[in-house]
Amino acid sequence: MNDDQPDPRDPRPEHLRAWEALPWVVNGRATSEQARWVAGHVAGCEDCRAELAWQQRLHDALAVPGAATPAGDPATETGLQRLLARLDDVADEPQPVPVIAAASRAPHRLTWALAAAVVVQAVGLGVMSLQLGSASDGATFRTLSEGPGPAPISATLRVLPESTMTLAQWQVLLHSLELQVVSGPNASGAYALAPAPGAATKPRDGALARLRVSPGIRLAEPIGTTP
Amino acid sequence: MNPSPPPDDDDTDRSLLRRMAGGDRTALAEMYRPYHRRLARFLSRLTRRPDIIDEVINDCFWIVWQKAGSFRGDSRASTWIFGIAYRCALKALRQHGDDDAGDPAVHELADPSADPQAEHELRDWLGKAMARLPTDQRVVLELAYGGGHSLEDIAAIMQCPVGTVKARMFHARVKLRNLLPDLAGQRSPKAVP
Repeated sequence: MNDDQPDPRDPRPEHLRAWEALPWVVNGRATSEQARWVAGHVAGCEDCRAELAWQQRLHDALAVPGAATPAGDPATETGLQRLLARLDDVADEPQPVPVIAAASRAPHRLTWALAAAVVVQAVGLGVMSLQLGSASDGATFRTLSEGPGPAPISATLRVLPESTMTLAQWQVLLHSLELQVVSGPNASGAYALAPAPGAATKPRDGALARLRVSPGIRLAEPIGTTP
Repeated sequence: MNPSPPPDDDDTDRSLLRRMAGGDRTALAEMYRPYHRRLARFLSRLTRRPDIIDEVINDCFWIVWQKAGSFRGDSRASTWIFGIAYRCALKALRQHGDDDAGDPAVHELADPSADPQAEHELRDWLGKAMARLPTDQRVVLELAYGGGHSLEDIAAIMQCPVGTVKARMFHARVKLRNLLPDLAGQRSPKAVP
């Protein structure tokens, strides 16, 4: 590099600034402010003026002519036809399922899967209920803390309370007679009664008499004995 | 100073892209024709294989066609297209092997000073000198002088900082001055180390 040429390592800031800006001034892409500043600088700087001339020559030699490709240029038209054929090929191919379309169809598959699961579950529950039904005839469920099952309670009295009797009056009466409800009320509103657990005596006859005279009792009769 | 305007019309390009986004193949052809020559010239700085150049231009416009609707307009349309072409070229060169357009034999660098007015000789001679630049520097010089792109455009095309473009331009100019001393006006040509 000769001494009469602009040296990019020149420490003068304005010289470096001009050197850096020259390519963009030459190719017309410098800002107007940048172009004005460079014009002012090169007017008084022989080195930068020479560099500008050199860059201009480079630019002129490298610049693509502004005119567009002549119409019908064989290379261009061949390339364009290849590109258009490529577009046609892709248009004719079966298109892959777009992601968004696949996503929109996912709920359908999910619905079918859920429906199938519900059917399987229903069938399973049906089979299970049949098995449980057939096994429940002689089966009883007990906890481990339970002792032997209580003996079936046999009702000894049938009682038909008045419809005006309150629940509280009914409970007081049963408690006083040491009776418990075994079943009922039936279609007529009658209850089957038996001695309560731990009753001191077998109360049937005495209880029957007292029930028949108690207010609010329409009917009281023994069960399982011939009157 | 004789600033040359950018060779492309950004408004026209944007209009064509909008039409392409709507599936207008006529717009694709209108854009393809002027760009084919510019891209072929640019890509010839990256590879000497015409088949790769054709492939890259085809791939570039394939992507432009597909992505026309997503062009946001943050840059000039030409910057966007050249950026696509540059990336397609790098990919193609990786696939086909890096057949660099550079590094011709040193003896090919004949001195053009015997007939400096012959433009075709100058272009040929300069082309050989360009080929001796590292690829990154050659691309920057081509985009700036061959394509008329701005500093910021080149940074966008090459996806690198503006400072990197400045550095590449700096080194390219220094090296060309050493390769082309007579054209550069130097009285005592020096060999390039």
